[in-house]
Amino acid sequence: MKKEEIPQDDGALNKLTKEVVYAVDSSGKYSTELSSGWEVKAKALDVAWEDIEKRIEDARQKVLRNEASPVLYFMELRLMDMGIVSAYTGFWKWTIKKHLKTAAFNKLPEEKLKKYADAFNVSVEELKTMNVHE
Amino acid sequence: MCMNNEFKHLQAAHCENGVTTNLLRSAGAEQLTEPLSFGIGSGLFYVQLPFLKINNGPAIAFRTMPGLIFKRTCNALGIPVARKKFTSQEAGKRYLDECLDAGRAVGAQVGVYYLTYFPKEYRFHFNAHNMIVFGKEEDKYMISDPVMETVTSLTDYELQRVRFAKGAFAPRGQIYYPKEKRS
Repeated sequence: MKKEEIPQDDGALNKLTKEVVYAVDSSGKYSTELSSGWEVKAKALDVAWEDIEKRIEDARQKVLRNEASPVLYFMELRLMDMGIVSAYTGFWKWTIKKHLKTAAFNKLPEEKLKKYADAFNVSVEELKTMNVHE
Repeated sequence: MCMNNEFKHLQAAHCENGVTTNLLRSAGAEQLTEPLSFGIGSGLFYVQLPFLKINNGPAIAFRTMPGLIFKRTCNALGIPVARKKFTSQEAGKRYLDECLDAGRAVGAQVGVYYLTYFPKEYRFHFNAHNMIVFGKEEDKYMISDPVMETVTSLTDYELQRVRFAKGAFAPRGQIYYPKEKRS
């Protein structure tokens, strides 16, 4: 790709920095140039985020229908999987699986709720009510 | 306050290339460029593991394992590598502070989920990002992140959080640097 053909579109990074890309200059040699972003890359990222937003909303609805505990909602909201939640809370994966059920979650003592709240970066109250203002 | 005054920020297309190039230039390999580090370090790689799910999709990688580009480039150039992981966050912080006090810029593997200067759209639980920490001013650590055009900074708390991010490839505070200058 030639230097003048480098895409200079809008991208998520654009507000903060330009990216280094490699392209051929007028004498046919590779050199670096800054790019503000590439539409294709921005679209791909948008698609990924739309998917995540959908998962978060699905999880929220499930919790509201009492089919899952708020742990599921915050797992999706924080883009975590079982392994990551386990690493941040110190709970075993099967324990977390149990806590995904409303009945088990409602019986959790304060200190265990606190561990989840800390891992999800919210207060215990926010964890229980799913009311987070960010 | 401690700072490596000779430190020059270097922006790169790939983070580990940038960190490697920058650290090794100050270790005497002054001709090094990003493509050279990438090539010498055999950075190009591809793997797709459909049974290993990351962010609800198959694990795909286009670059080698974190740390390998630095290791291979150093090996090829005959520069000894120092690399340290930590089980305790306090020990990790102490070690970094000692390096900075000695005027040494170091590479650090971090997770990007809590990286405050990154846009929200980029903040996934990706733990193989690399940056250089080159100084400290009161509570602020001076950061040279190859993705960014200029140097940035992180507070003590912010840096600890990204250095000890959890999940796949958890960095465990990993710090690395060329042990001595190239003779």
